[in-house]
Amino acid sequence: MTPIALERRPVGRVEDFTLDQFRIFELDGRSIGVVRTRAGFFAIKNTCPHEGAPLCRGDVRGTMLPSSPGNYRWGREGQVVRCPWHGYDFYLESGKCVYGEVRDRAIAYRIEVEQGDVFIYIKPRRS
Amino acid sequence: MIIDCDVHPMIRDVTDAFAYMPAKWRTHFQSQPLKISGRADDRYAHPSHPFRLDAVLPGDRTGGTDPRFVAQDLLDTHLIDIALMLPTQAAGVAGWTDDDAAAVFVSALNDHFLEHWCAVDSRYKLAITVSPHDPEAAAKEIARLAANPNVVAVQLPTLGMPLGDRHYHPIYAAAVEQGLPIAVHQTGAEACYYWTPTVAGGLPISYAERHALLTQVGEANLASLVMEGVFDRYSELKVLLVEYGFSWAAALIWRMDHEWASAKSSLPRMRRAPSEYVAEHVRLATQPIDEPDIKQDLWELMRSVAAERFVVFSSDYPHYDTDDPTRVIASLPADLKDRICYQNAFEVLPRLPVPAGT
Repeated sequence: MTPIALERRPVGRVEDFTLDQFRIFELDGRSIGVVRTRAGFFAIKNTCPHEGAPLCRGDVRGTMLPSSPGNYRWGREGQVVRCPWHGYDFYLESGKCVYGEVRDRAIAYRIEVEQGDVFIYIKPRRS
Repeated sequence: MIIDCDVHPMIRDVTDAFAYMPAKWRTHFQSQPLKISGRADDRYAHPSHPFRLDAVLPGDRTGGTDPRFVAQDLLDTHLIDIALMLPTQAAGVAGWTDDDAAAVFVSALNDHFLEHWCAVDSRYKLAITVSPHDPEAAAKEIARLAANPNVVAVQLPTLGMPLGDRHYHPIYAAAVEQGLPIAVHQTGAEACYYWTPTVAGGLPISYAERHALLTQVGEANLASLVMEGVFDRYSELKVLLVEYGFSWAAALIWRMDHEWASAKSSLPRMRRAPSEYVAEHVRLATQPIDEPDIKQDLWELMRSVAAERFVVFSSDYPHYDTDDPTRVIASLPADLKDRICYQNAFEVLPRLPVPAGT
């Protein structure tokens, strides 16, 4: 089967994105959040794989890193979104649930910045 | 047809209730502002956010403050026909020490929600809250509001004294007289104050530990209601237990039936097997629904105790641990959907208007 080619779509200029604030785009019937964080640009589907919450209404944050018992190490600032409902954390880049409580991944999208323009790559849906 | 048996209307702060209080009590609450949430934040701080962030309107600290927004966000979106409103801030009086203040506060909230929610959308039905501290005052509050057709239940917050205790008898008598069920929901004050329920073994250390164990409060109170003979004394009484989960009920029903079979002499106020009382008098709400890897495992367990007779649907909107109605209902076994979505609820909430064709 021939893989479906991804389409590159512009979503704005870098300066259009306030730090850690998602902007929501409706692209081919999908609600996708694009965000600029301290860790870069990310794009993720605005649906939590657990119970369908609007994931991009959640906070952008970091998470606790693996450490020995009784020690707390914070890291990955700007690489995680916390679901606005049950509080499960997902990596923005991969959509994977940080602690594995939710087996399904959130859907993350490839994103690129070129000369100040931000582009997202999605599978086109034709009506 | 969907009846959501757990929706929380909220006030922004105590001043929202002032219109329904005598002047001296407005002064009291202004000069001595009481915390109007049950949980002791300084003991069990929430690790993230207690409300769904998408349910909190700009400028608000809590979700569930606007009946029109909730109607759109919850009822319209998920095609919910009736929402049983359980005011959680009123239930928080379980942790208060001033019985009079508690009675005035719950009474004011009852009036507030009847006027500002039920009058706005007929899908909202209210469980009026009574204070558990003063059963005589509670009985008077039931009598005061029972004629209102939007009142469909009585919310009874739990104290550190199980619901089978005769302390509560005047409340049960008043509810039965008016044909109203008792709704019992977590108050948030569990394990937080002297004279509120704690969990077995002693004080939990963290928010998560406490939250994982709150089912025990429902379990202990169900056993108390059944085994202290409350349903024999009040044969028309119905009880709805909310936000305690329900999967524990399977093991509890087996254990209670075993005790009935083997130790009847210690249960002088009962006349039948506990499982029969549960099926006839009690309903348990789904949220927070347990999530085994294989969802059907939960229902295999529950079918063994005929849970299709006593489980009702609930969302707990707008709290963070809400269950999404559409997804949860879609996950129910097909042959149990009607029972859980509305039939069991109608049985425990007899005042609800039954739409034609259901």
